[in-house]
Amino acid sequence: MQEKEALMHCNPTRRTFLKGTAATAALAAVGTCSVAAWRAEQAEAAATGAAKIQGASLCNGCSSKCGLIATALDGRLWTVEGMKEHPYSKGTLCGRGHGAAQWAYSDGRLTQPMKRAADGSFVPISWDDALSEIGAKVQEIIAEAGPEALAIIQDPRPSGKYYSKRFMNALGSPNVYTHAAACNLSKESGIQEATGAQNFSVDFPNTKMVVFIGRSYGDGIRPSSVKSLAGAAEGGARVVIVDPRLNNTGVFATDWVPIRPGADIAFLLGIANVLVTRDLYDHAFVEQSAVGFPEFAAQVTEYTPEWAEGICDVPADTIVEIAESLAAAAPACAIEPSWRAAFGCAYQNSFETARAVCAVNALLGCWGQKGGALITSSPKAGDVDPVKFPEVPKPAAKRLGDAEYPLALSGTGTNLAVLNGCADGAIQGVFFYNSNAVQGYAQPAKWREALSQAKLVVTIDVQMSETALASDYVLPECTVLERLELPEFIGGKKHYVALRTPVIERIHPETRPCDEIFAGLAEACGVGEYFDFTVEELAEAQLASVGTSIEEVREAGIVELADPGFAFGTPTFKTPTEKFQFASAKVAEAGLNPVIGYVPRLVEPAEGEFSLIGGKQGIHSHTMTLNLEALNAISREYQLERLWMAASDAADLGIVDGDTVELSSSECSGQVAVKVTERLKPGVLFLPTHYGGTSPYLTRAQGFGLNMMDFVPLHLEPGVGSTMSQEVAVKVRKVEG
Amino acid sequence: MQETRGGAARATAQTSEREVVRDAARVNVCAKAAYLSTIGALFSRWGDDYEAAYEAARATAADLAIAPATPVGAVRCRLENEVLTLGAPAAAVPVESLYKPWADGRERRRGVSAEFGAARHLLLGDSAQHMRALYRALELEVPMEFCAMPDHVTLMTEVVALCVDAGNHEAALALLSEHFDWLDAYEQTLLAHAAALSSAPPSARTDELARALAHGRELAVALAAAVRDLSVSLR
Repeated sequence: MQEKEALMHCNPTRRTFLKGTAATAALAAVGTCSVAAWRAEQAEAAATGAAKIQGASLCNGCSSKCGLIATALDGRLWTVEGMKEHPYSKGTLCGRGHGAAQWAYSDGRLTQPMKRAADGSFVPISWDDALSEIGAKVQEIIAEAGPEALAIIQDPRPSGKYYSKRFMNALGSPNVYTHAAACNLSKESGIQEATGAQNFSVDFPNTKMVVFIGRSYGDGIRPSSVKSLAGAAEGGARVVIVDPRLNNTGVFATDWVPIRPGADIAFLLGIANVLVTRDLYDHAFVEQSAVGFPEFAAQVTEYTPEWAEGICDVPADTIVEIAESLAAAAPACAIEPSWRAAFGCAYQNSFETARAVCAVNALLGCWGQKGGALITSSPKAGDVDPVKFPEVPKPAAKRLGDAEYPLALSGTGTNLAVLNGCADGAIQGVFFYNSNAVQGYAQPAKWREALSQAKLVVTIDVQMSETALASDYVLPECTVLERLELPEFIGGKKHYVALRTPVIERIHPETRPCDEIFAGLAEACGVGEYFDFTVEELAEAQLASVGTSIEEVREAGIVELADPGFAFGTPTFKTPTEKFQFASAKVAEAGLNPVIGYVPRLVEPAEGEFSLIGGKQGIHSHTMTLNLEALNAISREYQLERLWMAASDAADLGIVDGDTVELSSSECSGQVAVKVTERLKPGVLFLPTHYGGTSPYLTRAQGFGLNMMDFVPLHLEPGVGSTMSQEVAVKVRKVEG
Repeated sequence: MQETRGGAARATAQTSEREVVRDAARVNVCAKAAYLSTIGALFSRWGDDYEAAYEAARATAADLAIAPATPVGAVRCRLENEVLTLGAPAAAVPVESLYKPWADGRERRRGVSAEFGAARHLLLGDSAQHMRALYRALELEVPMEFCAMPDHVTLMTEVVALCVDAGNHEAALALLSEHFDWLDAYEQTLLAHAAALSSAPPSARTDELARALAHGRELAVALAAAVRDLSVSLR
């Protein structure tokens, strides 16, 4: 056998890259090296049993984490499909999920740690150097300003939510935030104040009537939601869509009620008025299971259908008819809880709109009833070995922002406190995990300006997002199908636990899973003693605490846990009063009206201005999927980045379908093509919320469409601190030529 | 007998002449293959040692005029960090998988086609799998920095040179014809990045990057020429 290098006799000095021995005989006999011959061999091998691996994971195309089964052949990802047993996917994976599977092989991935150079460009840096420099900077910040000058923002993932909180708390900082202030914070906080639960679901199999306020299952997010709604529609349920836009759930709907943006609360209070003043409400429920009804009933008399019409532009007769139909269907009916949509974080009144949704459901007596609004429970891991997994002391300080926004969920906080904290110096070191806050959580220019004030910004991601670009260090994570994560516990009528398990080998050796990244950061920052275990050890311990194991979950994909004993019937409300709350003392303490009532939107479009609303699309929920080849190609093929405009408005402005227009607000202006449609209420413009990328590293996303958050002023919703993503008035004009 | 001896002598002389010609041809194709692999190597990270890589290309070039000139350090640095690095803003990494469908659409394994077989711009496609299989057969180990791109031109030109040196011209020719037929698209990518950069605000970085892209194109042209030249010699 002859050494390969010896074969390089023509130029023995040149550097070689391939390692090992290449025998002359082997080289001489290697055959034609034909791709066709290789493919034929592969096909034959596959027919006789190529190495096939099937593994379970949870999708990362949005935040839902639907169960999926990935199949790899010869170590190569071949297919992904929805997991039949998973309650979110029920055998189907949406377009995002299929597209997101490409991430592992994408040319847009981060493949090594990066550091920002003096000229603003990014240069590769070794893990050791990056961690060491970050650790030194963290120690410096703690020494000068205390641990409370550090913060982390993350969009929760099974491992990420555990490790990010543990890391920050180990450093002594309480400043742990999720993305919620730009997602569902107002809605969940409002539901919590009324019911004690953060969310509820509609009992679609038994419902007779359901009203959607802005949310569209047809555009996002879970396949199981679409299936449930389709089943209800096929079963004859009345499905009412209240939305300025006839969204893609329209195919299942019986009614489209176009409404003025930000005025859903008036519509809901108008319904409440009809139910109360016409004595159509559930007396037994409000007397036995609720507090504050007399005050609410007195207040709601003001909110007549005519009053509501004047605000929300839904005819009073329609409001009355819907209210009476709901009452006739009660308790097998509900106002659907929504998610981000119209009141997750959109307006000054979003928190109150969520409470109003709950109030109507309370008047209908549908809480816990067949076909109504169901509050279910969620499982969690039991105790684990405190020696192996030592508890991190609770930081002494209070989380930044909690005092100003006391109604924000304790599990999420308002991440915009970090933006303000950077601007005023209270926060000096910021970490982001799986979060593109700069592009999606509030006005990007404000984020960039604030982060430039910080002494240290670190982003952990799979790609060079706009947030990564605003960072000093960027640490590359491997993608979902390459990593094991901690168990994900799933609640509902039944309880489950599922896992992200690695299905393919790590593609880029210099990427790491988040558990390794946080353990490395902790070690470098001097708190490594809290991370002296592997993710596999902790996952095994957590699963053992609920009676299962990694092996069992890996094999089954998802494991059903002990029956939580769900039963129809009025639930026990986990509020301070242990009853449904038409009035809340905590809301009063926050300086707001304790009784569920009317709050106007903040920004009213003037003459010649439009309301601007946003929303998901079937293939994108967040900015993160926009650079993926397949999903970006679909967006371009169908021009999904276009601004929707009502046909009558377009006619008034001399705009035709496909024209380019300039959209402008108090904050910025930009150009985009127009989709002229009858599916939008006049006076309203719709802009999908994931376009307008600016990172030059994400070449397919960069400069494609407009980013809605560029147009929205930076302002926080009172009480909860949400981003008020639709509190903006815009102008539009045709761009000639 | 005389005639026979004379005929044998002539035959021997002719054989010897053929051997000389064959040896010369062999040396010629070996030199061309060596040059090709030194050009392929210029698409990798060299850091501070990059000048040696250009010297190696010059040392193997049949004509010094065809070998790419050594760029200044700042331009080479931009090329390595912002053009030849995956995921970089002006990334144009010469990896075959990125320029071809990820998997053959006709190929079905166990009755199922690949989820995104027709997609491009993805790593570890069919071409990479084929190259991996080849490296395995030759007991060659792909270095860590190339493990996501075994079909990078640096490695593929090196294995072509190995085949040529071992006398397996058929294999070398097959590799050249099947694994280097995307270089036009690669050059177009560099041109597109350069065109996009032309509208960027002027700065030292923009200027260096523009020069890096131009140099990248120079390398791409040299690579394509070296592939053509060797292919002709091997036929």
